[in-house]
Amino acid sequence: MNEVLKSRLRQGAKAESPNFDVNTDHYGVTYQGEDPVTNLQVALDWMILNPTGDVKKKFPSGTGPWHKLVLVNAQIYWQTPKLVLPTADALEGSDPFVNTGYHWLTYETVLNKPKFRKSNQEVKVGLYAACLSDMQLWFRDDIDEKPFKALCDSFLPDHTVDEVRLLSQASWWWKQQKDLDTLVGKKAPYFEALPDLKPPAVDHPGIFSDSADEVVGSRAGLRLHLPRMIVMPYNFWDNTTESSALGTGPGFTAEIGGFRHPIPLIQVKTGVANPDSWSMWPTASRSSVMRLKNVKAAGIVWPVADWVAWPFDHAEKRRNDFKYAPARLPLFVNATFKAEVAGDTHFKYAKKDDYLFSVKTGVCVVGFDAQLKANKDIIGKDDEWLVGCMRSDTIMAIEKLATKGKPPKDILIQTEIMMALERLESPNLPKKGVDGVALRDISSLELDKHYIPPLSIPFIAMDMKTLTEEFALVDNPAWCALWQKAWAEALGRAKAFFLVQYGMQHANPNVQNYLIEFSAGALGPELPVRIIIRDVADALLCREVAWALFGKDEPCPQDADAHAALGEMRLPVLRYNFHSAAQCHHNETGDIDVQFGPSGIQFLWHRFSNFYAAWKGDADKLNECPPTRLAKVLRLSSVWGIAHSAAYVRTIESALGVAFGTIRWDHLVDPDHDPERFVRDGKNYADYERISKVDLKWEEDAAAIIQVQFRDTLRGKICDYHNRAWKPATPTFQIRVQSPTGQALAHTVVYITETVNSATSMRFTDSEGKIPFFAKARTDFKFEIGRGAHTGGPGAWDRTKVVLAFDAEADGVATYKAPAPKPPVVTVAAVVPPVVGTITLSATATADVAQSMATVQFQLDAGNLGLPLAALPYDLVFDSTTVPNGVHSITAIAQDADGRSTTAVAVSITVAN
Amino acid sequence: MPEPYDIKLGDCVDSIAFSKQLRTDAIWDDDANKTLRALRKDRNVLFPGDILTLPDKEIKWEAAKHTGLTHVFKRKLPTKEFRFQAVLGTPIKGYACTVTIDAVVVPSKVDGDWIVCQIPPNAKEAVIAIDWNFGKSGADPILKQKTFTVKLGHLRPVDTPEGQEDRFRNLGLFSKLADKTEPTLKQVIALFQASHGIEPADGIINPSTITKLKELTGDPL
Repeated sequence: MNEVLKSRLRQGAKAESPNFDVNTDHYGVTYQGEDPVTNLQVALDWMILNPTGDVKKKFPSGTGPWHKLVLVNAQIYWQTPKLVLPTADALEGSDPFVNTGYHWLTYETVLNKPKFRKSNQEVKVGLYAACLSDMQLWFRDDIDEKPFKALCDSFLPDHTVDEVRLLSQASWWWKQQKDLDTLVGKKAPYFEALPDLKPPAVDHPGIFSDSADEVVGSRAGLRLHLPRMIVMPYNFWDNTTESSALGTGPGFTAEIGGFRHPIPLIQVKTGVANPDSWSMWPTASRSSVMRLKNVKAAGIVWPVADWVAWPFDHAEKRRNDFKYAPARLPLFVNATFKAEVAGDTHFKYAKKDDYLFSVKTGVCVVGFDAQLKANKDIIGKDDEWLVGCMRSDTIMAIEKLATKGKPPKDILIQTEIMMALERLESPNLPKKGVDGVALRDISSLELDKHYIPPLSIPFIAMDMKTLTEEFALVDNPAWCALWQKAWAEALGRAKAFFLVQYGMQHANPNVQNYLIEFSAGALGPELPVRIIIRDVADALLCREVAWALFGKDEPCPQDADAHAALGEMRLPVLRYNFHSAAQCHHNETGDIDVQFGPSGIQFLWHRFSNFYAAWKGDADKLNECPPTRLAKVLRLSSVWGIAHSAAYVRTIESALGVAFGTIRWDHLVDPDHDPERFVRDGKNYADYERISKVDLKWEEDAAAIIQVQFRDTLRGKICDYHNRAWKPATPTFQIRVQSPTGQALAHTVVYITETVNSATSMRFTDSEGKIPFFAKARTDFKFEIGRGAHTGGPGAWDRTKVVLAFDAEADGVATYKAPAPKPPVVTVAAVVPPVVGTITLSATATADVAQSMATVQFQLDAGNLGLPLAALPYDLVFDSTTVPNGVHSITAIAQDADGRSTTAVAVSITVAN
Repeated sequence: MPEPYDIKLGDCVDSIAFSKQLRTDAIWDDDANKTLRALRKDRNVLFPGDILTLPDKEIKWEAAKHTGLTHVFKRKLPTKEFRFQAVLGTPIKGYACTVTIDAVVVPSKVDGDWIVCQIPPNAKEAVIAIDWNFGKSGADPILKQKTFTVKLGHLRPVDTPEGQEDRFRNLGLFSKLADKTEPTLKQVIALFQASHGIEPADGIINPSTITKLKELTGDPL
């Protein structure tokens, strides 16, 4: 069908518009009909006759919903309120794409939902130059010599490396403080009263001299300093004329998108195919990998040219492609990937290159449209963009203090290493919005490792290289377990380390803020997984941790008026922050939900993917997902969310040597918890909400408890952890939890009642099946331990409890071997006599802890009655007229999944028909 | 009789010599100006209020070869060498420029990293236009030239606060702060010191700061 339509379109297009290229141009028409087919021919005929662009024609002759018939890149799509999947020939068949080199790093771009989707083939960016005096420039401390040279060479060709260092140093007052040096070698807490060390009212502009237009001189002569310029990339793949990004025009002729950038600019490199320009591979909406290069030798004037408008049509086309693309990708995206590989310029992280950086263009304003509704547009307001700079300098400072600059390899933080933005305090600039560029350090990635963006997880098969349908393996327990460990739990650990080591957490921990690192050749179930944290500018400072390390020896100030006290903290980088009102009032050290982030949002990555796109705005679209797959994905999100949060808490516990025993994990072990719920009700949006707000809410609950303890009791523990150079606390006593056959039960819930104080807590075992205790070793420690539904007081819950005692002989390790599971418990409900006609027999049956039910079989007088019931409710309709009047015996046999069975106590019935 | 001359803004020894029809060296090297010489060192950069002693006019005796004739003495119109350098971090080369002295375009020539031209000793203003593609706010979207207007003779000595301010203003370091106020000289000195790695960057002038300032502004040449 498509070929026929395309052929007709081609004929029509040629006849009417010889310049129309059916393979690249696009247009569409809107029509009305009860279904997409009604009036399709009318729409098509009209389209063929009017093939000249984005047609808004409507055909109100029909009734029913509106449809769109769109041609995009020689592919015909219908857009209707009800999602219509692409026709069969738009799908790619069964020949899967295999990513033999594991080059997943930028494939998130291709796998993203339409709004963010783009190719990751190499493209060139435009380059312009702005006067340095109009820009604010920041470099992270301690950048390696070679990449620093590369940065200077590319961005600041008129400056020596030493000049750039001085420039950055002079621009930020905290960099001029010698404070850090005096703290090195000392122990946390680092607070000492500092005489008269207050941040200045404003930062130094940090500029090198440009001669004023009017100068005074002697008659012998003088030196004239031309303005020094900084090269900035212009991403014309993402910017249209509607963009408000700096450089969209010459910058001073008119308002652009409501923003005015009255900054003189020089255009350095134009054109999309300019071989001398910088190469870019997009990785997200504004992020990319770029290979920089020097554009001009030092000591020559900048190239003279009139400003030429950028080729905005590329972004225009891309935007329209998204606009008219189907709401979600075809289920197979093999052809897309094969095309990427065939293009042969897609990004591979295959060799270290000093000129290769992760670059975010348009740090504050950018995009197809001005993104006016997004907060991003006003990041420049009130210095908020400084966050990235401060975070990275804080990270470097804390590492220097705690680990002498050699942090453990638990997580890898891709710090921001450079930022250049329009200067806020320039007299020319309104404080409305600023634009610029931010760079992250890509050289910290290792060549013999693989890096998987979490967004790609739903598409990657167990071999880590074959592309699948989205979440095609959601039914595969091994696949689910792999990613639970390698993503959900690994991320939980990473977040914990980010918090306890650096005192930071993401305000909005989206999936694109992370990468998963795998070792080559170790892609089995025991994965040495490290998480790369790659957006430090999104991180908030946790005031409790910062205060513990750098604040006074008193409880952490909490209220909004406490900023001055927080500002007295010792580390200058921190102090700057708290003196900035913008950082204090909402973006930093905020209330609890801000402090510890929205619960589990990482696991809702279908927000960014096809599933979310399919769902959004129309619950009916869930029907279009593969049968029940979305429901299973939602359930998996819940399971992974719990695992993630458990790992988060466990990691903090073992790092600091504490137990957050009062955290209730009822959501996890709720005896009424129905794991099939999402499958059953998956088409109900309410379940999606439930995952967001209920099943993962306990992370917030846990965070609330953690925060209070951080504030009130854990200051010393946090300092100890830093003084141990981030080595975890050594437990004084451990309980090893084993299965009935003696195997370690990792990540398992047990209840423990300490007999000394009767306090009951729910604990998780670690990856080795152990539960550490950090209390002072006491030989009289005794614990009741068991696995069972906890109903409140000690002893009330325990069907399998064992009393354990501290065992000095076993190095403080006591072993709890869980007893063998018991058969199910089953009862038949009593029947009120006399029985007449048809009645319903009811039974209740529960499997033992951690076991699952299989069937319930009713019996009448020792003979089977009806078929075995495999699911709740265990009700059976019984026609009593089929048996003689009189007394009969009813029972039920319950069988669990492993075949253990129990027969219920028989119930007598009297039939009297 | 030698007479005292009260230096005003815009004066230099050459401009005074020209207007008083004296030789520059005769003024500057006069014993009466010994103290001023030691104080200011550069005859081109004096401070308003400085007192320069103007010696008596020298009498030029010439043996008469012929009597009874009218002798015409032509005063050679003196010029002064004015040189400048365009710097973009380091001195740049190979650029085109136009030098206009008191509304008259004067020829210039390249001398190494410098552009050299001859100007009248009492020239008041030099307009130097350097060709390069420098965008600028205003009606004209693209200016191919960056133009500097130099008020000649107005530079005050580097060892006075006023002279330091002159130079910092020349270098564009007095741009307004976020609160629209102008920074103080001390703030500017601190910024300058920090920008050039001079320690301590405390805003108090010191020999390293003076040296760097002189180097950047190009005096004495």
